[in-house]
Amino acid sequence: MYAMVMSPPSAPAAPQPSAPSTIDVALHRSPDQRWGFRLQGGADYRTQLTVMRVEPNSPAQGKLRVGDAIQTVNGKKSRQLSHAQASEVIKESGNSLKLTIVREPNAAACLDHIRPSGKPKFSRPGS
Amino acid sequence: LHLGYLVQFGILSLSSLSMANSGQYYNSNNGSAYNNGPGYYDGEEEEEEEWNREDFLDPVWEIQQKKTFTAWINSFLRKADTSIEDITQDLCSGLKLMLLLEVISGEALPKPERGRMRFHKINNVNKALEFIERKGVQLVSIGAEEIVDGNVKMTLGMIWTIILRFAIQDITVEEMTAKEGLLLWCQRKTAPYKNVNVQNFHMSFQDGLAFCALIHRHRPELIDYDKLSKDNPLENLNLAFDVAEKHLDIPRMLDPEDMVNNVKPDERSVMTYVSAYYHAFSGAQKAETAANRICKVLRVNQENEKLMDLYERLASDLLAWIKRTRPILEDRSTDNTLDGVRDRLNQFRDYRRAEKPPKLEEKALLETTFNTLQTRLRLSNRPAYLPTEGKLVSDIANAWKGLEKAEKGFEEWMLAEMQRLHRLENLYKKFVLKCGNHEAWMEGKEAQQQSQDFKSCKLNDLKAMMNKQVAFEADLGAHQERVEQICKIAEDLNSLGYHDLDSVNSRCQAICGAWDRLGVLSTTRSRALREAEQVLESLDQLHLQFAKRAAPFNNWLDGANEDLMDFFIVYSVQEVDSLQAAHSEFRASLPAAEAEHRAIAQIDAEVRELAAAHGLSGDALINPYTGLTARELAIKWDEVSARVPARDQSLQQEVARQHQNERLRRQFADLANVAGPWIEQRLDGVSSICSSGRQLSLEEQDRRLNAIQDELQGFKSNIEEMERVNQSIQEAFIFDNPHSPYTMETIRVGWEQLHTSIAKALNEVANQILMRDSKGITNDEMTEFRKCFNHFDKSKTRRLDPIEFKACLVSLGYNIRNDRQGEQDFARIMALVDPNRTGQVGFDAFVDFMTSEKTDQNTADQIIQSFRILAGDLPYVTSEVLRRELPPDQAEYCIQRMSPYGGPDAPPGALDYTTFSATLYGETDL
Repeated sequence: MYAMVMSPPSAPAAPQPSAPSTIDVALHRSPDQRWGFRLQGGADYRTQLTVMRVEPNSPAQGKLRVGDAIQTVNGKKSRQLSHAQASEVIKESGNSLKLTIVREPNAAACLDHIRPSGKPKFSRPGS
Repeated sequence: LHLGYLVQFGILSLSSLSMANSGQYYNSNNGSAYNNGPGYYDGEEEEEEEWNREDFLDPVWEIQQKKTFTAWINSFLRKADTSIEDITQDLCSGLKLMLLLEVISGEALPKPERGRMRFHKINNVNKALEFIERKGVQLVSIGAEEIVDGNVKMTLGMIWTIILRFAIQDITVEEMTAKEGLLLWCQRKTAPYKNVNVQNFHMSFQDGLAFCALIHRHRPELIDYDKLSKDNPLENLNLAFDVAEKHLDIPRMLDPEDMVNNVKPDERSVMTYVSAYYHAFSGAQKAETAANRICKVLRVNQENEKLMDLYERLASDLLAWIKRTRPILEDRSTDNTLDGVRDRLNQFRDYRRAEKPPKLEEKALLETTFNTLQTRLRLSNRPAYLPTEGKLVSDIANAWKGLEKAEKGFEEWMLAEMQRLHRLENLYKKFVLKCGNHEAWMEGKEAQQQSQDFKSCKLNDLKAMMNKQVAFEADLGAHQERVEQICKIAEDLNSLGYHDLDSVNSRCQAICGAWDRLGVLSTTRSRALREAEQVLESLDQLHLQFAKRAAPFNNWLDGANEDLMDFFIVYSVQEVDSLQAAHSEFRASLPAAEAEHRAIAQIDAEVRELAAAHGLSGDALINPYTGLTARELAIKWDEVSARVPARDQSLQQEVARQHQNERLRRQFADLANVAGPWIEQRLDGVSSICSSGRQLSLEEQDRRLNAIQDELQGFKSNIEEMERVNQSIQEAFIFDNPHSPYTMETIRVGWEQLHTSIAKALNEVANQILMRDSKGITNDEMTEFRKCFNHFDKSKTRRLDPIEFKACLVSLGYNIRNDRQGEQDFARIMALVDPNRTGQVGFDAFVDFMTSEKTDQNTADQIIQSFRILAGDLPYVTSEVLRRELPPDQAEYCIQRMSPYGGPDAPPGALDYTTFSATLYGETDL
């Protein structure tokens, strides 16, 4: 849902969708501004650190997408970080933040234009 | 009716009194307050045309509404610590009216004007009316002045508008109008009560049972419904109103006497009162829904954690076991003996039979646990599970693959090793036999060749010696081949790595050394004899004749003896048949040999006859040409004759053994030819169950798969029987079997594959049930999905490859274009349905994708919202509330983990549910 809004016209061409792409992202903010994304998961949850929401008109908009899996924070591997540790590192990151993310080509976000209108109609196999 | 008048009068006079007490404008209001009054009381219809005649004619209507609306207003005003007594007088200043609207809406109205002048009041009432109009209600013909003047009908009409807008309008059941919605709610809730039939909001409620039924339906402990009777309306109404007031905090708004005595109770009053029931109960229902949602999320979290623990434990155990086991399988060291290898093979058999099968089951459990977990996480909108480093599914799969490779390599190596050692053992036996024969022949030969006897013998003796030497050299030539054979065998033993090579090599060297020395010695002696030939001359024809025939015959005897004692290894009936044929050929040559033997014996006899005839004795009787005697030949001949039947017997034994082997092959083939198709049929059965969603419900699939699994248990003994036969086959050194296309290895693979595919199928069905239930997919929809999926699953693998999947989507109306954009779209879909990039789409991923719009977006926000409902809209919650609303274990779970609420105005013991909810999901907004 957000991804449609997020892609700014100046963004580079969509990454190769066939494979997940590893992307370096640099975010910048003014003092007292939030990054504008929701983080979920972490080593203590035994799940991948993942971006679960991106706020419009925030530093994260256009840079991060829902579903992005965070691999490094400011150049350091984040696999062993607990949720709280990762949150802390990101919060305390000053006015710039560097992330390496793995992005699965986000199908749900961009597929509205190909979905059938209304409920899918099942063709009758064999008829 | 008479009584109604009296009551009405009483109230009117009462309200007049309170009006007189309440303000200075009593007099000025007085006229307008009674403007409509006389017509009303006198029943002069023609003067009141603008009012609904029936309503207007029935004063009961007005009395009931006044009572009910007053009570309804007070049920809100009490929250602001105030109340009204007379609905017309107490609202006319506009102040309490504004307060009422603020309490009801929870919104602030403009500041009221404090003055007591008429225009202040009009302004205040207008502010209230404007607020109502802002809420989307059109107030036709209600003017502020009439309210200020205390017009009863206007006031009641306005209050009804407020009630409709704020208490009833929001009631929507299945998109009906508010009134119909409220009626439908009553009908549904009272449906189980046979003596209640709600058709309207007047007569249907007159006997009181409908109120009692509504209370009993939601709070059965409050009313003993079975004891109630239609014939006691007053009792029923009083009971309902008392209980509602005491336990549900709904004030009395209706008068039981009015309800019973009036011909038709006032519809608006009854609706107002019933709407209070609706709000009381639907609030409880909301809290219950919220509590259920919280419980569901907590339970999902706890179950996910359990599954993660299970996965981690299984992965650790399995990896540790593989790590322990692989070196054992990769160890190719051996003591180079057949027994040693046989022990290792037995150990390996125990491993395959007892140790590996439970591990295979653990691996299947591990995989299904992982799939279930990821499905559950996806369904509850959580990030994907990330196992500890090194315990990814791919790590397990790689380790397992490595193990199976090691296993295969180990068994191949061991069988080859056994074959090699077995051949070596036989080769060594052959070597020992040939060496023994040769060494016996060599005995004394060197000394004989070194003898100087020819220097002191007679001519004849010398000639004999010379001839003897010629014969010896011929013999030597004949033995050359045997020495070469011995060397060749020793060489083979060396190249095949026989374990006791030292003794082999030293013995072979001794033989070769002696042989070389003997060659030199014989050359030397021949030359010496030829030098002496000139000097000596003597020849005994008979002896010569004997010697000439005896030597080759003797050689033949040695050869025959050697052949008869020859060891053989054969692996088939054909081979032993050809041995038998060779033996028959040998037997056919026996008569000729016997003739030769007799001839030689004849010559010997002639010598003796001649000597006897000529009276010769001593040296003359000794054959100078050869050391062989007829007696010696006779002994060897007897030996040969005796060994022929022994050879017959051992060949027959070998034939029997080969037939036994053939029986084993048949026995194995009979079992394998049953087991192979059996397993294949079950594999087909599993795959047809899983692709048969057309007719079979998921539960039925689950049942049938379990049935096959039970069958498998029953069939296990057949596999064990095959393992036993296979062991006998390996022990009999049988390496091929032309009677069955199946080997033990292919049966094992099929058997394990069957186990695995059943486990996988069961897991898939379980995941589909999970998904169906959690997504609220109906059985019909599930069947449609299954039909569609199967139609495109041309390969019947229960997976769609990308091409099949794309065709499927297109047929379902997805617009995937045949260009670059279309490719990208499809690639995105694949990434969604096949995150591990296996190149295949399973049924559950397919359904998940098709229903992705249906997924209930499960987020921390929703749980926070649910807690807020339990907390009565406060930003914190207390342990009392949690214990009241949640099951004990879940309540304690929350209380232990919630931190104190840090916001302002928090009472002691307030807990922070917002942070807690975020922690459940591991969410932080950054």
